[in-house]
Amino acid sequence: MKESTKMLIHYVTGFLILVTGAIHLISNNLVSLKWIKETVWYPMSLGIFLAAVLYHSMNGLRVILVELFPGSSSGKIISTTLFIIGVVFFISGLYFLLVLFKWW
Amino acid sequence: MSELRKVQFKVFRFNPSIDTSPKWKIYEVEVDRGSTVLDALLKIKEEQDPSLAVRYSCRQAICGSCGMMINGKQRLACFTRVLELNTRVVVVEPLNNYPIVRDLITDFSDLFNKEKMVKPYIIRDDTLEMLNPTGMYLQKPEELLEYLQFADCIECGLCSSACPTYSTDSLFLTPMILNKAFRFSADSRDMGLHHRLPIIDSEHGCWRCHFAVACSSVCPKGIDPAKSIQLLKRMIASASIFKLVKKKETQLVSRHHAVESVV
Ligand code: SF4
Ligand code: SF4
Ligand code: FES
Repeated sequence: MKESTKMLIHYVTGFLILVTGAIHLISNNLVSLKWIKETVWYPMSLGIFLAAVLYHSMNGLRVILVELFPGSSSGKIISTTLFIIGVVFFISGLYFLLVLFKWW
Repeated sequence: MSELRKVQFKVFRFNPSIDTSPKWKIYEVEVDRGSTVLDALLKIKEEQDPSLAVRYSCRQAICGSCGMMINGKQRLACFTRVLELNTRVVVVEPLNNYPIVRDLITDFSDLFNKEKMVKPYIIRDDTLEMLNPTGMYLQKPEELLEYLQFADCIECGLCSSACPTYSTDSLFLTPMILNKAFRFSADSRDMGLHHRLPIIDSEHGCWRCHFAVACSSVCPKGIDPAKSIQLLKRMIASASIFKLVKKKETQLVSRHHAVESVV
């Protein structure tokens, strides 16, 4: 994947974290908007939040690490390792979400 | 005749062929209102210590040779008046981020190798015209303004020396080189962006710039390389992700016609 594509996704996920994070905070703290939690959109927004947070944080970590350890092979090792960690976290997070909302 | 004042210079000294570690030497120099740090260093060299190594050429902020750390900041020695620094001791060191050759001289080979990689020249696909030129490419004033500010770079390397990313990531292309890549890619006569993309849109290319703007704050020519890097990111995103490449159409006029229109 081109670096520009990775960074575009980074910025888009940053925006998604803001939106889905706001949905989470609002629906849990404003009594008048508690109904959001009863809809199907709420667990879906949490799923998007999980994916966005994981991509954004793993890519942020990748950027820091490739700067600290420059080199073409170290770049590949860093990216692959973080990708695997991200996928493992996403699958386990998704599993917890599905169990929590009784979809599993 | 302006009044002379004595100023102390604390100068970094290191000759890798004989020294095991760097040392500082203090010199006292008489300067006047117009004396630059380079004038003072050359006076030290002439009158007190001929072994001091300094690189310079034009003495008027054009060649980009005399960059050094002066009182902790990247500056051109020939473009910095001693008394304007307003300190009793002037501390002079080699530029940060580059290997030291000797005393105040640093090695720019890494920068010049990276510069070659971004193809810092106009690239065109009308090969026949390039080989057998019949005329000149017209450029409108607004097209010139797209890159004019960024074309004034004298390759002094001060910006790359100030860049915090380059201090940790030795493969980062650095502001001097990314500015050069933008200057040519933004030129209405150039068609070479796709040749530069594999380098500038890479892991150590323009996306590693965190917009700390340290580069622009030290540029002696007011280039603002931090701005050209952000413009380069926009250009890459349009070309590489959204495939929005503005078609460049340059008008070729015969030499005869061009001379006539000037007359
Ligand atoms: S703006 Fe970018 S290139 Fe300039 S000093 Fe900061 S990180 Fe380096
Ligand atoms: S952009 Fe400015 S500081 Fe950087 S090399 Fe060019 S003239 Fe020097
Ligand atoms: S001597 Fe040429 S820029 Fe200073």
